[in-house]
Amino acid sequence: MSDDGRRDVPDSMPDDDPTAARLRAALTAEAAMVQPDDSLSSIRDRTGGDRPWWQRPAVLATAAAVVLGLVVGSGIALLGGDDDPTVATPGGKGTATGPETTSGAEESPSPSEATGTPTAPAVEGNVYVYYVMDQDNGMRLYREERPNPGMDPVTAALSTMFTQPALDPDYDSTWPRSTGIVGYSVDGETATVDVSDFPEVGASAEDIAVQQLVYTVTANDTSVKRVRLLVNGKTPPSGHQDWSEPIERSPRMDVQGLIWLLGPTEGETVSSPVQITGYGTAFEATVSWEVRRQGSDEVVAEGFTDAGANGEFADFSDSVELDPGTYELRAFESSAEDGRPLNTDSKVFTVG
Amino acid sequence: MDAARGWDADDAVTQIYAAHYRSLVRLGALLLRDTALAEEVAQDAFVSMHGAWRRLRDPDKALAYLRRSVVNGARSAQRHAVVAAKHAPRPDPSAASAEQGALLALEHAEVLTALRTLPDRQREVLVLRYYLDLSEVTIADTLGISRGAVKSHASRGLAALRTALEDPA
Repeated sequence: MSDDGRRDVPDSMPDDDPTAARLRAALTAEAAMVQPDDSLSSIRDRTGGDRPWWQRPAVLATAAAVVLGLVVGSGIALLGGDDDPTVATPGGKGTATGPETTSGAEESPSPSEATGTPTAPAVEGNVYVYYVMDQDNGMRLYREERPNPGMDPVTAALSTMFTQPALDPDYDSTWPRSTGIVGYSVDGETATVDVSDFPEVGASAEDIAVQQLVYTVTANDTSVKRVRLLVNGKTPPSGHQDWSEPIERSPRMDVQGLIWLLGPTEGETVSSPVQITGYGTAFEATVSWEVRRQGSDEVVAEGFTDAGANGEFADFSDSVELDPGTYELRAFESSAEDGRPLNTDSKVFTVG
Repeated sequence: MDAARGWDADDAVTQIYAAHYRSLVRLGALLLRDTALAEEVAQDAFVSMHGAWRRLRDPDKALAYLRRSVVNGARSAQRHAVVAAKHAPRPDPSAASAEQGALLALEHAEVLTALRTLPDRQREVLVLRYYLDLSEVTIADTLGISRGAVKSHASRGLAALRTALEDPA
C-alpha cells in the first residue's frame, strides 16, 4: 500500500496462520476502542516559545555531547538529536507550561461500530439512489437520498437513477439516460428487474453498473437479497459476463466508495455549527476533512474524525463553525505515504 | 516529499500529528493496555521528535523515530511498577457492537490476555506486525534488532500464543 514501513510485499512472517489472524483481529478491535483526546496544543506548549537552553541550536551545535550527558544525567530526558530515542518516563512533563495533558482515563467507548446497512433508513418518502464516482481504486458506488415522487420505492429509486443526474456533480450513472423500467417483481428474496437498455461499456464499468442497480434495489427493499436482471425480457446482452443468474451485492470493500460524505448534502443550506456526517472506512479509521470557501484554495477549517477501519464501515461525524457563505467540504483519507488525499468525497453547501 | 523540506519543527509536529498521533497512541495502548499512559508516551515522543526535526528533516524518518520512541517509552513506562495499578477501566465491550459483540469481545480479550504473558520483545514484534502491518526490515529498524531476531521473536511469540490459546491455564 505505501512505503512508510508498511509491508508491500510478502515476507517470511506468516499471515495465513490462524493464530496470527486471531491476533490481528483482536489488536484491530482493541485499537479501535482507543480514542485519544486531541493533544496537539499540549504538545505545542511543551515545544514552542522559550526553549530551554539545552534545545537552543547554538548549544546543540557546540556541545551536543555534553548536553546529552547532562540531560540524561539529570533525568530530564527531553532531547532531540539521538537516533535511538529514549523517551522520558511518562509524567515527567519537562518544560510544560501550559495546561496539563488531558489524559483520557474516562474515554467514552468507541461510537458506532455499525456493521449492517449504513445509517438509518431513508427519511420516509425518500429513496436511496446509488451513483458512481471514479477513484484511484476504481469506480466506486456513492449514495444519495432523493425524494420519492410517490411510487413503489424501488421503482422510484431506479427511475431516478436512470433518468436524473446525481445532485453531486462528481457522481455519475453508468446507465444510458434513456433506460426505462420494463418490469419489476419480487419473489421471496429475489427481485426481477427488467429494463430497456444495458450499458455498452468495458467489463469493469459494466460490473459497477450492475452493482449500482443491485445496491439501489436492495437498499430500498431490504427483504431483497438478489436481483435477476433482464433487458427487454432477456438475459443482458453482455460481451463480458454471463448475468443470467440472480446477482447479489458484491462486498462493500470491492465496490463501495470508502468514504461517503452524507451531510451536508450537495447544495444544502445549513446553519453553523455545521454537522459533518458520513460513513466509511480508512486506515486507522482516520477520516480527514477540509473546508474551503467555494472557488478558493485556502482551507478555512480542517479536522479529522473516526470512521471504520480494516474493512469495517462505520458512521463518522464532526462539526465545524463557519461564517455565512458558500463552502466546499472534502472528506478523505490522508495517504500514509505522502499525505495525498485518497477516496475523497466533496460537497458544496451554504451556511445561511 | 518536497513540501516537507520547507517544514520547520512546528510544521512537522502539526502535520505528522494529524496523520499519525492516533495510531501512535494506539500502538502504545496495545503495548501498555493503558490509554492514558499511552497518550503521555505518544506526546513525549512528539516533543522529542520536535527537538530532533532539524536532523530528521523527513516525515518518514520522523515517523520511524516516533514509533521507536513509543515502543521504548512504553517499555520504560511498563517497568514502572505503577502501571499495573493504573489500568484504565476497559470500555464496556457489550457497548461496542450490536450483533456479534459479546462473543467477539470475549475472543479478543482472550487473545490479548495471552499476548500480555509474552516477553517484551515478542509482544512488540507481534504488535508492530499484526497491528501496524510493518515489514520485517522496518520492525528490525524500529526495535534496533536484526531481521533474524525479528523472525525468531515472531515465530516464538506466535507459538507461545497458540499454546496459550489452546490450553488456557
